[in-house]
Amino acid sequence: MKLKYIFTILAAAAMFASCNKEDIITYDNNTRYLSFATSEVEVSFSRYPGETTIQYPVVVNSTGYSEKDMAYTISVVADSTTAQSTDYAMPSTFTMPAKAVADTFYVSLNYTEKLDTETMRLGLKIEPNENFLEGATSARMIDIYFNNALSKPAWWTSSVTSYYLGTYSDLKYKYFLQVTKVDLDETANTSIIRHYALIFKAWLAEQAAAGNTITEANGTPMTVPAGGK
Amino acid sequence: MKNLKYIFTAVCLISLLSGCYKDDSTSFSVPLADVSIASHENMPFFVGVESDYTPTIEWGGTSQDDYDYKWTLNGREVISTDLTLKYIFKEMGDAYLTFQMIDKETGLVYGKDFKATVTGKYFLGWVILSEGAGEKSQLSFIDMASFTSYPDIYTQLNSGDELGTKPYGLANTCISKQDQIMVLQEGGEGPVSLNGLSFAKVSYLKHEFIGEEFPEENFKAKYTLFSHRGAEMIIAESGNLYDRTNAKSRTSSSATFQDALFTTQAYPHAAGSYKFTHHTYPGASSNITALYDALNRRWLAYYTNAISTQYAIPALVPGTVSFPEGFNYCTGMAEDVELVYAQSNNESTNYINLVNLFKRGSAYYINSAKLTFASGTKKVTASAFSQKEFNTGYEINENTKFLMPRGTGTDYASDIHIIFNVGQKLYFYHYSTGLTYLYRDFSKEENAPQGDIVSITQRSDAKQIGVTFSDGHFIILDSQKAKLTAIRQNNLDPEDVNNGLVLAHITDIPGTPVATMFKCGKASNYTGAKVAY
Repeated sequence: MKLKYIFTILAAAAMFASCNKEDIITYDNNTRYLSFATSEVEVSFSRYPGETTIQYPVVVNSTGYSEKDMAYTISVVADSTTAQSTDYAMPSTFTMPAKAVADTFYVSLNYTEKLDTETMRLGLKIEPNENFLEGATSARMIDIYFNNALSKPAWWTSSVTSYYLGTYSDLKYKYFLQVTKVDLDETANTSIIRHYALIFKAWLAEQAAAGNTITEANGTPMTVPAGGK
Repeated sequence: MKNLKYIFTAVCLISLLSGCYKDDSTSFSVPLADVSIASHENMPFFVGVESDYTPTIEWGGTSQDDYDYKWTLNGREVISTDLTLKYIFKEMGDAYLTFQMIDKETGLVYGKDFKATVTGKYFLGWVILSEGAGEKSQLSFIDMASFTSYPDIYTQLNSGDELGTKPYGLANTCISKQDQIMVLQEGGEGPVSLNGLSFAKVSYLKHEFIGEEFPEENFKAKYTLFSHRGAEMIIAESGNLYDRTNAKSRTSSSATFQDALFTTQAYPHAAGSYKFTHHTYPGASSNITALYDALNRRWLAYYTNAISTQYAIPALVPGTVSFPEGFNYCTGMAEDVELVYAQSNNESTNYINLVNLFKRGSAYYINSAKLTFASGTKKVTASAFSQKEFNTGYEINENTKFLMPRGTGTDYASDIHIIFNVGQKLYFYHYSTGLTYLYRDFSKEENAPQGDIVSITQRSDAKQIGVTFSDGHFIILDSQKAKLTAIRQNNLDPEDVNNGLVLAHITDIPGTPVATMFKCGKASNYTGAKVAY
């Protein structure tokens, strides 16, 4: 008999325990989330010969869109930033245009001599405001590294080495950028790369003809295989 | 036991009797008609155009009405139930057709498989570019097989759209199953490529340069050379060379047109400046295209077989050749030697035979040499040089047109003939004997052309040549080497207007013709000197 009471009590407790008020999250198309298109970039002044300021484009993407312009907020993350405030400049306002799902703002990166030997870091973060919440965790911040150092670009593949520009060297790349004034990226096709390689080759030939043979760091003449050896 | 024995015997007897059975029936037989359906290899059909074909049938005492018919495409789709197949093929290529005729009375089926080759209606033939009223560019087509003429075909097929103005040249480029025609013209949007099947515009040359602009002010593409060894070249009127490199062989099934852009950087030559004014046949079987540098009065050579082996226009070296004084075209010829005509023949991967026609004073000279590329030295070396005086006594002048028939595997590959005209008379020069023969006197034709000869062009297999006249006449001649040999051996009279050499005489080419080419249709015809559908 006693067991009967115990069972009844347990059953009642279980029933109460299963009753729990919970707010169900429903789809809300009025909330927009903002995220950076990429989380890390490296910018080198060496790819912009003669430039002392680079207007670097930063792309933010939003979910949904609005019929009117909407402001969003970007802040500098002090813990992720080694650049001094004089090394860069941020826009004063950020606005997602009406009916747009992406916006680009430009960060001014300023050249200083310390960039010849150091890489500066500028960390930016999306701040929630009345119009936008932060998007995916992995895309809420962007780190912009900037320097004046050269590095082998991704488009300088083994095929580019074999057929168009030859073995990579920082010096060759520096001259290439100075002569062609073009900052190629991975989307450049072989016609484009060959074209600029031929321009660079013609410049090397002109320099040699003028008695100013361009050499690699080890003193050997700089060569470009594009258009034949 | 005894009864059982009788019963067993009785059963055996019954079995034996029933086994003997006289069969007086007759077998079912049908008298077979002696019907046969003739074979037909590679039946020609045109894509997008209703074509018809009636098989050749030996009826064997029956008649057409005794049968039902069925045509099945690729073993799946019944496309006709008539004796005559009428069908519009939607794509090019080989199609396998099964023809069946079913005897209405007996149900017996007779059948035959056919292979149909579906091509474009304008797949193979002669293309003539003319300048019409208002300097308009006009294109005409003459079908290779039927010699049917399609005057001003671009306008006809493109709802009156205008091709452009101020035409001056033609070029043909092919991939594995089709080709394009490039119309060179100064007016309109400039040179333009047309689809080889529909004659619709595909792209303007200026858009094929990086930046979509011509590389020079007042740029004029004098020659366009579409090789099948990676390199495609444009020689500008200025003499500069602009190129692009295709990674794929043109005969590859994955090759496409316009798959790279021309650079706007003039091609660098290791030895310095140049001005190209002549070229030889761009590589099909050969990696070498010879380029004449008028600035330095010498031949150079563009060499490449792929993007991986490209050499900066190697200079020619004389090797062991002793050139006659003033004719050293490796180092530079004398000021008074003028290049009149040049072409290559007998090409192989790493060599070509270069044939030159030079003028010096009032005399003409023809010479031949083998140019061989050595990958070790990256030089092209001349050898096996010979030179003869050419046609002294013939009134060759600045209006004379020349053609050296050539082509891989053709009879002309290693036997130099130069076809040329003096006025309305066509001659051929046979290099090995040094003799010249009359080939045709066009002034004796019925309805003889009155205009000047504008061009002499060969079919890709060199078995026919087309002679274009400024008054719109176009005459196709049999140019099989056997015919020319027959003339040389007095077995064929060139003075006889009915000697069978004229295969077609077309008189309805509009405007004033300025250029003619043979449209190869596909890459293997270009590379292999063939005319296959």
